[in-house]
Amino acid sequence: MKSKLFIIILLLFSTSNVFAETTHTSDDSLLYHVQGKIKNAFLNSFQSHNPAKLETIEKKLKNFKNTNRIVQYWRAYTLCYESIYHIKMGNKRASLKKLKKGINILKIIKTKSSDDYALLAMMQGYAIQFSGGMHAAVLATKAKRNAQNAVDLDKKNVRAWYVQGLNNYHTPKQFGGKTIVKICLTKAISLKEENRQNPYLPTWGKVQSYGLLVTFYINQKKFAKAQKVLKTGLKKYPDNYTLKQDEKTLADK
Amino acid sequence: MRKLWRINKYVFLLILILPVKIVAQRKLKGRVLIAGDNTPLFGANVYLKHHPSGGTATNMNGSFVLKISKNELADSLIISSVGYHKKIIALSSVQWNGIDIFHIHKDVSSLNKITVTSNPSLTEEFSTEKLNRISIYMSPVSEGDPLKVISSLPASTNTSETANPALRGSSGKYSRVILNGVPLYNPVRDLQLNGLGNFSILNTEIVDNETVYAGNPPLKYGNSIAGLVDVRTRKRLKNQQLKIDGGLVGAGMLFETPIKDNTTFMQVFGNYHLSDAYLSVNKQNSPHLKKFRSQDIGLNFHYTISNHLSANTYSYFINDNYNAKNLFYNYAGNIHFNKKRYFNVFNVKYIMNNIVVEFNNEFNVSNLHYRFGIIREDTKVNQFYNVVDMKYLPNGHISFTLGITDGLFIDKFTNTLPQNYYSIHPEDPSYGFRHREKNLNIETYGYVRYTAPKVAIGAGFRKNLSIKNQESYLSYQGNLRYTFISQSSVHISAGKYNGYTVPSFYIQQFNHVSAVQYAIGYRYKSNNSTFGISVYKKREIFPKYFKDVGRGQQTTKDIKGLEISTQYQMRHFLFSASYTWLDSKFKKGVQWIKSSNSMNYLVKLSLSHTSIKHLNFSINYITRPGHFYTPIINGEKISKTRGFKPVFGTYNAQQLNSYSRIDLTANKVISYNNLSIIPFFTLTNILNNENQRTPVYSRDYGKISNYWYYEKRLIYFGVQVSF
Repeated sequence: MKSKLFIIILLLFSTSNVFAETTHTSDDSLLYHVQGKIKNAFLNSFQSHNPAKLETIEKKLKNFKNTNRIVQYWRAYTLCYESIYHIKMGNKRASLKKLKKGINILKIIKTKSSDDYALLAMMQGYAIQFSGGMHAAVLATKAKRNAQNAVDLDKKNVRAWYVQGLNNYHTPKQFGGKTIVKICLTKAISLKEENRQNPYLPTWGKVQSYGLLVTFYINQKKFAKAQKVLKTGLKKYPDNYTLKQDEKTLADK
Repeated sequence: MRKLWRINKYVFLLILILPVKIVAQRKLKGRVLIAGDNTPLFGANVYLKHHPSGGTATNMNGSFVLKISKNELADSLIISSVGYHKKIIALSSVQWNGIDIFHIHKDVSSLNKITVTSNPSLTEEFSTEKLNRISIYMSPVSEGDPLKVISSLPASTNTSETANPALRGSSGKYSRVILNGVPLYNPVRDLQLNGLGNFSILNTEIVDNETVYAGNPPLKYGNSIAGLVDVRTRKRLKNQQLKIDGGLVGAGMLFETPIKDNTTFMQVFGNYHLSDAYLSVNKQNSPHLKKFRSQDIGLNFHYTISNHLSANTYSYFINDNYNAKNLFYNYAGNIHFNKKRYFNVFNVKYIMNNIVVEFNNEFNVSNLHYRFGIIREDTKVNQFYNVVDMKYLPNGHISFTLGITDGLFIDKFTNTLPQNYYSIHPEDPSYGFRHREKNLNIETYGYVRYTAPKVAIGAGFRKNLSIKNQESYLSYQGNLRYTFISQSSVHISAGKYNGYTVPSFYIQQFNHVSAVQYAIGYRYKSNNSTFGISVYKKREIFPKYFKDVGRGQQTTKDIKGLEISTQYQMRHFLFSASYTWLDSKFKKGVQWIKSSNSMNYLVKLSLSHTSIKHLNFSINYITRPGHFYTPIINGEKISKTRGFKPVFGTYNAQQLNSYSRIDLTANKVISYNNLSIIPFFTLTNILNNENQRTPVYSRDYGKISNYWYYEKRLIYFGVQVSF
C-alpha cells in the first residue's frame, strides 16, 4: 500500500514538473483559468442564493496591485455575473449598480482589446433593459459601435461576433435588428477554438453562439436549421445545459 | 504482491520513459518587461511561430516557462499582447542560461486605432448634445427630422416655428449647420410649412450622428459666431432597405443598399410634396398658405477604398415653389417663390497610424425667383468651399488639428426694389439694378486637446488671410470640462469668433461679424435622469436691418442667458422640462434697446411614451412671452404716390401677447416579417391658440386693424412602409 502511494506521489510529482507550462505566483493564482472560477462562483451563488463567492472574487480583483487591463477585464466580467445574479433574484437596483460599475471599468481601459470591446458591448446591450426611450437608443448605439469595434480589431474573435449577433438579436426590427444575427453567429461558430494556451484570457462565446443561433432559428420557425445547428453544437458540447434544453424544445416540434 | 509488481512494472517503465522525454526537451525560462519602465507584462502570449496552438502566458511577474523540443530549436519565439508590438526572437539567439529577459514595446498606433477611426472629432467633449440617428427618431419633437430635433433642446431659442437652428438668443443666421466638414447654408426646405416636421434638406437615413454646440462653436469650422450643428453621414450600411412614405403633403421614398461589405454603399431618396390634400384638411387654420409644390432628390455614396482610404459624396437637388400671403409694413400681398438648388459635398479621408487627413469640398448653386408686391428678386448663388484638415493623435491624451479652408461666395442679383422702402404696392415707384457680390475667405485654424480621465482641455485659433480690403481678424477659444463623481461635470468655455454675413434681401452685402462668448455649465447624468444648468454671456457685432430707416446698420448686441433643464425616465415614459431666461439688447445709436426675443421665461415641457410593442406618443408644451415690437404711431402721406410713410414710436416698446402651444405626435410600429409599417399622426397647437405674430396696420398706419398669427391647430398624418 505504501509503495502504491509512493508511486502515485511520484507520478504526480513528475507530471507536474514536466508538463507545467505556466508558472503562476500567489498573486495571480486567482487569475489562472479565472473564467471557470467566476462561472463556478456564479453557479454557487445562484444555488445558495448568496452572491458572496462572486463578491469575494470581485473584491480580490479590485485589490490587485497590478492594474493590467486583463485584471480589469475579469473584474468587469465578474460584475456582469453579479448583475445577472441580482436580476435573477429580482433586485434590479443592485443589478444595475453592478452593471454600471463594470461598464465604467471597461470604459476607462485605454488600450482596449477586441475582447474588452466585446464585453463592453455585451454589458451595454444588457443595460438597455434598465433604460427606455432615448436613453435606450443611445445605449443601443454605443453597444452596436463597440461590438463593431471588437470585430474590427480582431475578425477571428469568437466573442466579438457573438456579441454583435447577440445585440442585433435583441434590437427591434425597426432599428435594423434581427438582420445580421445569422451572419454573426454562423461566423462565430465557424471560427477555430482559442488556440493559445493562455489561462488568463477569455474563451467564452462559442457555445453561447450555438445556443443563440438555435434559439434564433426556433423563433423564426426554421426548425430544420435549428436542428442542424443543435446537432453540431451538441457534438462539440454534449453536456451543455442550454443546448440540451433546446434539444427538448425541438423534440416537441 | 504479484499484482503490485504488475502495476509497478508499468509505472517504472513510465518513469524510465519520462526522463527520456525530459532530456528531449528544453525549458525556456523568461521574463517579459515593458520597454522603458521595465515593469513586468502580465498575460502576454508566449508561443512558437510554427506551433501557435501551444505556448504559455506570462504571470504577474512577467515570467514564463516554455518547453521546447529539440526539433523545434530552429523555430522562433513570439511574444504578443494587446497594445504592444509583437516580438519575434529566433530561438538560436536565446541564451538559455537562467532567465532570459525580453523587452516589449508599446504599440501606440494600435492603441489609437479605434479612437482614430471612430472618433475624429476633437471637440465633442465640449458639445451640448450628441445625437445619433436612432435618438433623432426617438426624440419626442423631432418627427424624424435631424434639425427639428434641436428645437427640443433647452439651448434652442427658436421662436419662429421653423427648423432653422437658433441657439442661445442668437439669430439663426449666425448658427451653422456643417455637413461632413463643410457649411450648409439655408438647410431648411418647405419654409411655408411652419409648425410641421420634415423641414430640413437632410434625410435622417443618411445621418450617422450630429453634435450640437449651443455656443462657442469649434474653430475647426468658421463663419459661425453663435452655435453650430456638426452633422456626419453614415460610414456603414448593413442592410438593403426600401422605405416609402406618404402623407398629407405628398410622398417620398428611400432606397439604400450595401455594395461591398458594409462599408461601401449607396443611398438614394426623393420626395414630391404638394399642397392639395394638406390644404383641404387645414385650410381654415392656415389662411396665408395658398399653394406649395416641391421636388427633391438626393444621393449619398460612401466608398471604402482600403483600410486607410475612404470617400463620400452627397448630391442633392431641390425645386421648391410656393405661393403664400405676406405682410410687409402695411402691404399684404402674395409671395411667389421658386428656388432651384443643387449642391454636392465630397469628402476624402486618409487614416494612417495616428494621423487622419481629410479633404472636404462643397459646390453649391442656386437660382431664386421671388415676387412680392413691387419687389422682384432674381438671385443666383455660386458657392465653393474647400478644407484640408489634418489630425494627429500621438497618444490617448493629446491630439492636434491643423487645417486651411477657402470659401468663395458669388451672389448675382437682378432686382427691382421700391424707391421708398415702405412702399411695396405693385403700383408704387421702383428701381431696378444688377449687382454682383463676391467674397473669398481663406482661413487657417488649429486646435489642441488634452484629455485625462476627469479632465478635457481644448484651445484653438482661426486666422483669416486678409485679401484686398478684408479686415484682418483672429478667432480664438478655450474649453474645459471637468468630470467629478463620474456622473457630474462642469464645462467652461470662452472665445472670440469672426465671420461674414451671407447676403439676403435686406442686406445684400458680405459684412464682417464677430462675437465674444463666455459660458459655464453643470451637467448631471444618471441612467434615468439628467439635470443641467448653464449661464452664458455674449456680445455680437453684426449688421441689423432697421425698419424705421429701411436699411442695415452695424450694431452691437448683448445677450445674457440662463438655462435649467431636467429629464426623468420611468420605464417607457420620459418627462422633460426646461426653463430659459434670456436678456438680450442691442445698440441703436447710443441707446440700448431690448431685443424682440428677450424673454424672462421660455418653458418647454414634454411627456413621451416610447414602446415598440405599443403606441409611441409625445405631448409637448411650450410657452413664452410675446415678442417685443416697434409700434407705428402714425403715417405721413407721400405726395405723388399711393403710400404712407410709417412714423415709428419707441423701438421695441410694445409686446405681443404671450405665446403657448401644445402639440401631440403619435405613431405605431407594426411589423410583419420583413415589413414594417409606421402610421403617424401629428396635431399641432391642439388648443387652437391665437399666438400673435405681428400687428397689421391700417393703410394710413392710423391704427392696428388686426394681428397675424402663428399656425393654429394643424393636422398632419401619413404612413411609412419599410421593406
